[in-house]
Amino acid sequence: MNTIDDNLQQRLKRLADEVTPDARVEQVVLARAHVKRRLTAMMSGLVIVAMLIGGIAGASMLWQPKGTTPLPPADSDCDNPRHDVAIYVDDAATGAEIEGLRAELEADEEVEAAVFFSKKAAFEEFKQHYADQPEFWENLPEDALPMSFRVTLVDGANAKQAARRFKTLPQVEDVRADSAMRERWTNPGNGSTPTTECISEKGSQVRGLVRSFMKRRISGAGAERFLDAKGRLNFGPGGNLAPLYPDPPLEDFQIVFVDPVGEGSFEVGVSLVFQGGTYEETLSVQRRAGRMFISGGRPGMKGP
Amino acid sequence: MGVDDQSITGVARWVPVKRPSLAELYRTHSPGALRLAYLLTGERDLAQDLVQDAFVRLFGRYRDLRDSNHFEAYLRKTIVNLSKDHRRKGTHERSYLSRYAPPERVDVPPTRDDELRVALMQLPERQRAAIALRYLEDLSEQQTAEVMDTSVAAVKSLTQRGAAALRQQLGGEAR
Repeated sequence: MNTIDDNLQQRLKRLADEVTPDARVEQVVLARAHVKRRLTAMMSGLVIVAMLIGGIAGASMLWQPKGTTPLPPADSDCDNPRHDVAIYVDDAATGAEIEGLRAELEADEEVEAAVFFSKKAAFEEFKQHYADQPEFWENLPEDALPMSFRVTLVDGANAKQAARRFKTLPQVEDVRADSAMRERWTNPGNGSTPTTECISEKGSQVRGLVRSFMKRRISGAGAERFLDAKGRLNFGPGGNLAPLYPDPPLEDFQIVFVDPVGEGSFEVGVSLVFQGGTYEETLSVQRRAGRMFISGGRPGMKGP
Repeated sequence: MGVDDQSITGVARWVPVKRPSLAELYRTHSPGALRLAYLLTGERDLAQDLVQDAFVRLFGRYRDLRDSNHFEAYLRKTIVNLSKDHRRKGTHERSYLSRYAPPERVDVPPTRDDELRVALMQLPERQRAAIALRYLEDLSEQQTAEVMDTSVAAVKSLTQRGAAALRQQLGGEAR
């Protein structure tokens, strides 16, 4: 530390020591974080709801207790609309400024489409998504959710890079790339075939597959106990998987990442969140001869 | 969705990964975060606000952090960025504390080394950040460069110029 002036350093540290945390702030921070996580989860849910619903429905319909079932044709739902990036607009933005932002987005060579969602539209979408959990939105004012543009990028575009670019645009409050998964899917590496790319865009298919795998894993323990009225497995907080993990109680199940590792091969990180700890695992998924194969992976989490 | 029996290579082992709770993270890191924010802003209330915002922002995406073991590094970077944003926009949200836990206020003693605080605030923002990260946080030049999204050479230059300006402002007392 030869470039550090010791006396100056001591004075700076003494100056910094003059400010100490207020214990009351902790609860405020935790409360705000809780609200933010709820809102973030809700907004993320809006963007990926189509993928999740598709995945769960697909898993429910296609899972069979014995034997194997070929995947449907790879391109069967490749044309589903998707949003890669959500751009949240400053509440104070005027109509003219929003139109200006739209023009800037549409002029971006990587933007395939940009759809504006007003506060009202966002709230309606949110209500629809959480129709069975009205406590999420009953007490929310209708203008609680921000205006946004939902952007679809051209194939091959890097969502994270695009998101960073969009963040510099005027009136942009925040930008979220769609769970950072899309860009990894659409860049599966050299040697990928169009079919693989098409399947790999279907995060929902892999999610459904993983859920199916988890379902099979517990089948020996009486899987029907953990199914809902529609025969689906509910991994969510307080879901019906919870009885399998009573102590400590299961709080959440998440698919953390999906990484292509080669043509037709993927790694899927799953996470079971308990009170006081998280169990994580990487599963291997392979597509061979039109079927998906999944195996209990190595323990431990591989970061994206 | 079909799953081939033969492809299931066995029930995977769950490996416990103990993550600290958000409350634990806050208690561990908030004092240091506040000290850094104070040197960056020179204002106690504003520093409290920035630290709150930084924690809220990070807690909101805690599970998405690539490596939750590096929470402190994420926090440090978030505080530096929030401080920069605050200065750039020229506005900031008033303390949530006063909103949620009104009217009780704590009398804050005057700064003992106001001369240094004033001199620090007169530095350009990036020089001040480099000084705070190097002198207060004891970060290396490389670590400081990573937090500030700049080069090691730039950090060296910013630190040297910042320290020289402080010495000049303080009339050699800091030496």
